[in-house]
Amino acid sequence: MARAFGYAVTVLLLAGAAWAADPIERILARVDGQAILLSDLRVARALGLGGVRTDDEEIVALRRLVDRQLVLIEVLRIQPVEPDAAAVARVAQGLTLLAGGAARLAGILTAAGLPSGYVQRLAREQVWTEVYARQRFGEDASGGARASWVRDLRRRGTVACRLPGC
Amino acid sequence: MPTVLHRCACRWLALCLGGWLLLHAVPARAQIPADATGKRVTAVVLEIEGRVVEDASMRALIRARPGAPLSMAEVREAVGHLDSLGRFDDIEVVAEPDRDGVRLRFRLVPKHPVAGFLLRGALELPESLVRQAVLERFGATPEAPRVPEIVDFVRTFYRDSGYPRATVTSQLDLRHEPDRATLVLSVNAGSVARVRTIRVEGLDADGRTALLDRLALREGREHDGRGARAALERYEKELRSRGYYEARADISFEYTPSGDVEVTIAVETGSRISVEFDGDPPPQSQRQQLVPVEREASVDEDLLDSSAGAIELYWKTRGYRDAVVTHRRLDRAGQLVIVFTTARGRRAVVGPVSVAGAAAVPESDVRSLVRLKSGEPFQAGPVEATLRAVRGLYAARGFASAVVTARADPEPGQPEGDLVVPVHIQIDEGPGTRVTRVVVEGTAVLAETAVRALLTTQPGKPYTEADAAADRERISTEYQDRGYELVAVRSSVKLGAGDTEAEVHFVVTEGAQVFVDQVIILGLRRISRSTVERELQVRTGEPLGAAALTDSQRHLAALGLFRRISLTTRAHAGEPKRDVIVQLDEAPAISIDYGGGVGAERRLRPTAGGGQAEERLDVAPRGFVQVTRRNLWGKNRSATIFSRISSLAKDTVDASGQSVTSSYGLHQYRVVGTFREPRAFGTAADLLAAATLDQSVRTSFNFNTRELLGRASMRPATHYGLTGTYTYRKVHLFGETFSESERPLIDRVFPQVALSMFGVAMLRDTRSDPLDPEKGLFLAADQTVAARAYGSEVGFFKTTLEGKVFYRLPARRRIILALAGRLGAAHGLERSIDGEVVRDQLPASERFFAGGDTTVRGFSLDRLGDADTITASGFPTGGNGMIVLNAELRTAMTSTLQGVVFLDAGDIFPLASQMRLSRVRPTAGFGVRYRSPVGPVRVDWGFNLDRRELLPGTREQGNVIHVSLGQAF
Repeated sequence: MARAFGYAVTVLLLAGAAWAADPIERILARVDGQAILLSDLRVARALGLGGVRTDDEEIVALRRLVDRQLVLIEVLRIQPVEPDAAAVARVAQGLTLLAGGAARLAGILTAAGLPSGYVQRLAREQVWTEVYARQRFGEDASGGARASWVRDLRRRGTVACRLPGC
Repeated sequence: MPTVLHRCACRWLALCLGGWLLLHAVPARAQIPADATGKRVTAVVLEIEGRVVEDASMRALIRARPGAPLSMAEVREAVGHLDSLGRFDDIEVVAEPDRDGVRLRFRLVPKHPVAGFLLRGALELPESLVRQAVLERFGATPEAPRVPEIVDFVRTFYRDSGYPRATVTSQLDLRHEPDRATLVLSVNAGSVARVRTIRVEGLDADGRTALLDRLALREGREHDGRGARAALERYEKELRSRGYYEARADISFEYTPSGDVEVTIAVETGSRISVEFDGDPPPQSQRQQLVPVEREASVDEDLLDSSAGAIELYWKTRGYRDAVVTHRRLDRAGQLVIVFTTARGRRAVVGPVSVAGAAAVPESDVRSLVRLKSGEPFQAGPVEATLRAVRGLYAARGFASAVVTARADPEPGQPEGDLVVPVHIQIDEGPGTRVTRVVVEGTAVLAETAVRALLTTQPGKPYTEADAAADRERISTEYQDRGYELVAVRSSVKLGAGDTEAEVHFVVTEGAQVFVDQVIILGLRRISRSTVERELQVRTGEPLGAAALTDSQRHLAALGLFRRISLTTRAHAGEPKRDVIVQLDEAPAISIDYGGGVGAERRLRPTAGGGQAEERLDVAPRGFVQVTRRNLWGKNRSATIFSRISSLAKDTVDASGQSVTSSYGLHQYRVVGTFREPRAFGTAADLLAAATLDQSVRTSFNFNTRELLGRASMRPATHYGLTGTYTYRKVHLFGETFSESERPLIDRVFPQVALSMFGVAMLRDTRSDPLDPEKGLFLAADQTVAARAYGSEVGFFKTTLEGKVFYRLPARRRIILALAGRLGAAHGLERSIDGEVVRDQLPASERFFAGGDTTVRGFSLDRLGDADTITASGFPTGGNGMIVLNAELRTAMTSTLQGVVFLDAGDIFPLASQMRLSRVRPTAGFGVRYRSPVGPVRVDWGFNLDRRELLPGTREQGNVIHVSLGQAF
């Protein structure tokens, strides 16, 4: 009995150590010098940013986030004008619903260390990206031409990842 | 048996329990660590590669503190700040359970930049060859992310060199303190490939054999792809140099599974081509450039058409406005001949230029923009440029719809020779547009009146798009300086009343204001942080203005302590906040400057036999060395040692005055030690302390000086300066050339005199340029008091007033009127000796002297005076009063040459009470200034308009030439 108890205690300690060893924040990747953090990945899963799904493997999710960041850097390079406020509000509402409501969204952002206004920024970025894609690719805004363009952005950009192959 | 079963069951239960705990205790990466958030932070630990570090500057970047609840916002912010340092490849934050809270551990992995690379293994190729290729492509310190690219490059290099099976692997060997890495490339070249087959296309058998001999290619030989490719390039160049301009030669390699290589060479020689010209051909020297067939290795029609156009343009820019060039191809015995035929026609020259239609804008203003000169070759370009300039002039004056055209038709029936083409410019001014109303919308942060004050576009003024654009820019800058980086300013204009009235609208979209969150200063080793913070114009919590960033950079550069200064910003996610990152590279603390040269001056030298002093040209070498130590004790303090020496003739007159001995040596030297502290004791005053050893040779005496100086200076307002000085100086005079009979007539000459003086100086300087001003005023007043009460052996007051004014005359040419006046008055203090009141006499070194290149130019150095201030032997003694007046007209003759005429007048008075304007002695003259790379070189020729016979039988010199640098005043 004492030995069993010892096993249980040992396992508990190991479990506690395992729990403590996992980071609560770290840099996962750098895209043209801009860091993508672990908390960014968490928020991306919760809100579906860049096409990231909750059940995606970490490498897949990070790859999508890197692509999203490359596209955003390219879009912002041309200094777009302030997007239409109504369109931004619609996208922000959509993200809130995807998160499961305003309260849950607030919890997700707080746990990631992000301010409540962050969803507005995400919405603006999404509107900018969609407008740019429509102007550039027309009807094929999410098709092969865009995928080819993103591959070209990867070739031209500087991407460094913690996980090989992202 | 129950005991065994019981034991197995307990173990199994423990394992299951542990397994269940493991599965649920290890947080999946998708989960947010809600358990840790909100728990009390018990400690914050910084770790670099496993070592705990205590670094106050890094700690300052982490807001999470022991005792406070864990906030993910603070953790995220800390990661961002640490990443901004640019020192770390990886930053990881772990929350370890600790008592009733969590210990935050920041694990930092520093960057290890690649400092060099090594090649190991079975290289087969010379290491220097491979190394050189990698260095040329990637540099000496390639970045770590490029390592896969380097490996691919080396692999391809080996393949092209005959080793298609070469394997290349890489490894980074890390070093610490400092953190660096060495890239180790391990190469196994494998066996060299052999040429299996060679296929040549485009040549006959003989040609094939000759080519392969040149390329040193044979089946069965070892393969050298790079060598073969280089040889083929040379072959192609040679073909083109022999007239086969379109020759092409390509080589490709296909590697077989067995490691051999199959070579394919494709050669197209094309036709042999030559280019000929007939009609009016261009000069031989221009043909290659105008018809670049050989350089482009092509004779396609586009190239030939553009060549024909180039030849036409060549003639048209030389006045042959009707030049026509055609080209054709001929086949001459298998050779392609391109013939360019030119008919250039008559040469046209510009005739009279007339302007019509200018009414609201003066015709003289329009003519000033005409780029055509009668008699010059006629070209269309200058006519177009003139029209554009005139249209721009009208647009700037509010005539946006002005139409400006030109007609250039030669008169018919002109005789042989150049064709004269008169140019007529016709202007239809149209209605002038004036601003009737200006509307400003969208301003909430700035008051509308403040925005309107920025505008050039105002009601009643002509409307121009250039003014509106400048106004938009000015408003944007005003907002950006207040932190509104996304401000957008648009303008629109509504025209009315036949386009004569304009209502201008400015619409401002302000955007969010951005604030400074953290100021991160990097790169400091010796200099204190407070020295840098004092110069920064950006502060935590204040708006982040563009001007503040620029001013910060400027203030830091003015310190003279840094080699490189970089200010960048880092955004915060979702918040209008930026971190300002100040990256500094300290300049070396010690600098050494040195130099040498030769000086030439005309000096009064005594003559033997008791004769008069005569002016002779003295040439003497000079040299200096200066050592400066900066940022003493981490602050912006500096200490300097400067020394200068000069070899000059020193003349010693014997007691009888009959013989003069001259010796050359280092008779002139100066050694100065200084200490500077800007903003001393937290005030706005800059402090300077200096100690000087100096020996100089003057015209009528020599002296050496020991001096201590303390000075505090400040700028109480723009254009104003204020300085307070204390000086202790001991002067020893020697080598005086005054005769005994003359001594009582002049100020007493002390063999040694100690001076202890307080001085105050004020100045106001509004000159546009201190070296060559066009306008402005310079006023200065200096008051010095030496008194026995604080250690001076001689007591006196000395006042100097100086005023200069500069004014640019309203003329097209740059003509500057420069006026200056200097007044000096000194007065010895009285003291009582044995009941008798005696007045102290100023030492010679403190008296006023005048004459020379910066005072009254009709006299040589110090020679202005009269019988009261110049001895019988012709040496000036100086005086207690001085008046110097200057007037000069400076005219720019070319961009680098300036001519001047001047009137100078002045005099030296033995006593200040004897100063009279009526006694000043006039001189006049002229000169030139040349703006050289080292500064304005000046030559002035001054004429004495009041020549006197100060010495019996000897009139003063009538004129003097001065050569020096800079303006006279």
